Amino acid sequence: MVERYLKAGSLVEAMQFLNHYEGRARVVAGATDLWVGIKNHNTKAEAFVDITGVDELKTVEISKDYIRIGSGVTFHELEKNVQIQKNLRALQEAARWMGSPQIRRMATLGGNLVSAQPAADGMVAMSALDVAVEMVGPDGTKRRTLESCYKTFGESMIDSSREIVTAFVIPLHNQAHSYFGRFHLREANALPVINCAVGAWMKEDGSWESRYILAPLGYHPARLRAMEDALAGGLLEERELYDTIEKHIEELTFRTSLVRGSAEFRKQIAVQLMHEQIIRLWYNHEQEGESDAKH
Amino acid sequence: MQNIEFTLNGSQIEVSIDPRESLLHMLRNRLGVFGPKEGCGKGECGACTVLVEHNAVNACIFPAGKVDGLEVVTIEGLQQGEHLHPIQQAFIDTGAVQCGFCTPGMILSAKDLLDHHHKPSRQEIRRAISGNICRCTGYSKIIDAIEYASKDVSKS
Repeated sequence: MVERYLKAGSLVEAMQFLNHYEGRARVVAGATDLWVGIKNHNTKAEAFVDITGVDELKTVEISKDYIRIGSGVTFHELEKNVQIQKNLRALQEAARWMGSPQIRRMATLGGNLVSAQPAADGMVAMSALDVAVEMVGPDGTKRRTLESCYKTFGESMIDSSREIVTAFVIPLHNQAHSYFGRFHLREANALPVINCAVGAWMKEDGSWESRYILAPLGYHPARLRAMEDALAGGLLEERELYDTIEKHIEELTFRTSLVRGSAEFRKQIAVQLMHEQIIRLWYNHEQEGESDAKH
Repeated sequence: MQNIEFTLNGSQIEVSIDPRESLLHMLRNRLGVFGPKEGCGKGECGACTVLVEHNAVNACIFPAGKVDGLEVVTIEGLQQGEHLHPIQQAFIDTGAVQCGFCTPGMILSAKDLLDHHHKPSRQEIRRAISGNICRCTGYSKIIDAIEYASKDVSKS
């Protein structure tokens, strides 16, 4: 039986509320996923702790070395933020396509992780960005890798009765670029048939590191590590690139879904989308006079 | 049950809610505000759209408790005395209303757009109402109405 809807004015107050309820309260952010479930099912929570009024979770800070995005930043704000447009293109593109205008006004980046949907647009983009997730709980603050935050389908490792995701910290790597692509059947509120993100940056030793991400393929955005290795040798001719992508995606297991389409259809879309995004990634580097870029 | 206070269409309201309740349920079933409609009930059709702090949101998945201390505007709050809001008038003038079920949500999504962007393109209008489904009009008249209204709104 839920007794109270509590609106926290600060992070300290939010943690006080959670501590008071000793695991019997639940954090609420944008609520766009949560409230669909809450309306239809019973919840064991005795209180909701709303963190959308916590200003310290709503900032985007940029320094010389990193961008720190508060977990309470909405998708509308992500799409419009100039620093994100400039430095984290994949995230800005993902934010543009997430949900609908109304959902983007409500939904937060932190909620996109905690609800742990396997093709959550924000987290697909984040997976290509070398992100660290910052959170606070009974044992203080800690950081985790994004991948380690997923438990299973629709369930994250974050205990929403005791922990709060506070921020996403993305290093500003040298020569970093990232892009996001999505195939869907209507302009808004359409589940992706496939979404895809790519990212690359130059490491301190001058070599390149890349991330190639596809979803939904499992319970979290899938990083195509074998393809990263295969493409690490340098730029390929377009046909050779396409064949390499096709070969690696052919080995992945796609599910047939009534909503998203047949496995074979989704696989073909995945090849096409990944090819388009990698071309954007490589072409962009070339445009900036880095035709010797290695991936 | 829990008491919350907020501003609804310019008036201060105090109401007792269930903490699990949606804003839409509270508006329709506790306050008798029937402008926002329940369509899908899960944030996909936009019929329940209202403005919270001047931003269009889906009231059906918006926790009622969240509006404590905030400002909410429904379609009932747009008219000033006997004068319809320019967007409402434009919907009438261009024939953009058929069954009317989607209209309150469409108008409030349009208001969010025009409050933040005075001269949107037709593509920007299409995108702004992409979270609102209409099964009657084919959308063209609605886009005409918002484009027409943008001229009035930008003048004022």
